[in-house]
Amino acid sequence: MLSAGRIKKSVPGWLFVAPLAVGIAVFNLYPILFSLYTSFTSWNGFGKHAWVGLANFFQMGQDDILWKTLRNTLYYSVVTVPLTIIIALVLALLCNNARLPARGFFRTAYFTPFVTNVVAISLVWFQLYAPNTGLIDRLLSFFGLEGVSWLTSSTWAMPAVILVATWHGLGYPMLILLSGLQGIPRGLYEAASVDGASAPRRLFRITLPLLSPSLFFVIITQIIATFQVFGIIFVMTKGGPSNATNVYIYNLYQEGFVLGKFGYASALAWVLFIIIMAITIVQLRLQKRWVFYG
Amino acid sequence: MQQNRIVMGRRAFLGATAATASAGLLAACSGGSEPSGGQAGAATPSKQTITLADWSNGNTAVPDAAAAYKKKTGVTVNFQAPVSYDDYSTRFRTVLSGNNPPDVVRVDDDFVAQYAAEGGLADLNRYIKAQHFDKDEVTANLYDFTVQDDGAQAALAIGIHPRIIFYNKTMFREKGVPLPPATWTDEAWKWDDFLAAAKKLTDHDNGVWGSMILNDVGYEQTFSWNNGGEGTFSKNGKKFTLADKQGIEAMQWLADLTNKHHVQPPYGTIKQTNAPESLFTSQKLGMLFTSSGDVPYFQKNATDFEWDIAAVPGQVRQATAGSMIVYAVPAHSKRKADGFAFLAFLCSEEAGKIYVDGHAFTPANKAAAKLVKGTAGSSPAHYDLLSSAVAHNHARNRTLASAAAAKIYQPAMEQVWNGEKTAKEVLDSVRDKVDAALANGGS
Repeated sequence: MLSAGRIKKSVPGWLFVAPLAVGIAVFNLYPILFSLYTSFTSWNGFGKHAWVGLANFFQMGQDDILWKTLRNTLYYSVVTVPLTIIIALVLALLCNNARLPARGFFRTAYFTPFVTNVVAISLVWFQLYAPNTGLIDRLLSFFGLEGVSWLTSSTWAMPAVILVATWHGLGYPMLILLSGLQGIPRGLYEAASVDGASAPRRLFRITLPLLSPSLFFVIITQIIATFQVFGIIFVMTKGGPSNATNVYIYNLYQEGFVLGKFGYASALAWVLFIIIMAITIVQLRLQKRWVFYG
Repeated sequence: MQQNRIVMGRRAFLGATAATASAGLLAACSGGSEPSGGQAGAATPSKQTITLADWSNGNTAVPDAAAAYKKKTGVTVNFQAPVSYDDYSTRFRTVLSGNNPPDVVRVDDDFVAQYAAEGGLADLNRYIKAQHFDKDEVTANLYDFTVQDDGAQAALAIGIHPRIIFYNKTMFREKGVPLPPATWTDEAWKWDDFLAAAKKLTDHDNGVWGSMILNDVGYEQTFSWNNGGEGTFSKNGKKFTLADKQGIEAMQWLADLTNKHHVQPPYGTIKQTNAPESLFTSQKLGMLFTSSGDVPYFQKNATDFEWDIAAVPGQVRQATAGSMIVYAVPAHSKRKADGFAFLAFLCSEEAGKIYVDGHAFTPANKAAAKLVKGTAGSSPAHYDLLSSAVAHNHARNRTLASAAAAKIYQPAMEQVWNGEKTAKEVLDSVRDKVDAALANGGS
């Protein structure tokens, strides 16, 4: 039992957090709980919810398109995450080099796409990928190569989207890795040099181990982001051709807002939540083997 | 100890990151509170301001009609900020699931039956009776289009954009290609004639394409029906008849325009934003299949050459599946009578004249539709062809699962358009799934 005095003392604290708490309750907690309830119902948005129990979750087993979108999402994630992180790491290493002139300019240049609206970026790349008349096909034809239908080919559409996503998403991991690099004591490199360690050896024995906490954070956030990709797909391909770029969230959007199956869409959202949580927990377990906190 | 605290903190932080990111995702699927389910009030209108939701388009006909309505009745129509057509279904479901939907909403003509069956649209019969709406003043096939199987009048079509062929008359003359017929006839205007004209107009060296049809999904119904089939769906809305022999032939013919005859741009080009309009206005396209809704745009932007409109080419038949301009009153609107009163005005001769004067679309009102005339001295000279087009309109049969069906077969058809598969391969492969979706109403 709290004494009257302690309750009285805690009132100002509660008042301070109240605006945020109310905001979270109204705009996060309530929608989340509503979504959980909706996932056990059939609801088209117009009428009343009809309780269906686990039917929405069982329906996923027979949903061919869902499995296709899961495969596509995995494909997208498995390619995009390593590609983004490797390029971001290389750029961070370059931008961390004191001998590089105009480092500030390059840091800004690489970070700019990340803070640019994804719709605007997607529309620009949509034009770049235009068959025959787009810049990419024109460049290819300049070198005597024949262009392909980048966004309407079942083979090329996903790589084309991944290229855009990688370019767009480079800035954030690069910045995190750069800050990680700048936290590594210079003395370690000097001592290694004195001992005759080559540049690759310094990279693999000093830089990467000490950068592993930053890399770990970047990997987790990148995986979460790639599982939730939507904007680029919505603008550039609408999941086509023939569902070749139809990813989990785009399918969820279609089920909910196009087909009006909000119950099923909510169930999809909760399954994705569980998938992401599971992947994150596995990563947290595995980090002990490779993340070095110094 | 400190190390442990740091590790735990990081874990908690990463867990929270994952949870927060996922929370946004989960929250996105919640739809807010349930509609109140309020019953209709009076069946006769008041003088209150009403709201209307539409998708963005360059057409000012309905806002102009709203201004005339205000002048006549004193009632203001507030237009909600529009979204693009692509985003409209999201907006539509969101605003209708709230407690305060607009009083009048634009509805995609393909989904009227589905939305009505889901309980989203009010049955207008009560207001039709109370406000003495005379349905005989409206073209019958447009009025009947929104009547549901149970007799409910789910919406009203205030007009129609017939799908037609826009053609560059200057280009036809320069290349010595016979002009399409000026009336609704398929004499010397069959698919082969269309293809022959497209071949003569195509000039790859200068980036000129003879034709473009795949830009407007109305090709499905129009060309499969004209090839002697039932159209996209069977009359009872339970079968996917586009996968019948006639539908397969028609879709393959359309794909061949690109992949075999090379008289239509690649599918990737067609999908580019505004590609049909920009190619046509820049004289890089000889013939374009699209709705008459593009007339005002081309009158404004295609001014460097002479262009006109013609009927779609015939085959076994020569009909067109127009795009209907349909508005409805949401089932949970608090001012249904007011909403219907405005809808009735949109179907009136007075509003119809506004549509005709602006070349916006062909009005559902019969008297106003008779005012559609040719545009002597300016393009399109044969604008009056639209009256015939309305008479030759054959809409797609309605189903309760059009969106669910489209989600299955339309992405698959992209492999036909890009030449990766034949129409038979794709339509055979999806037929059973689409039939199943249609049979269970998409649920």
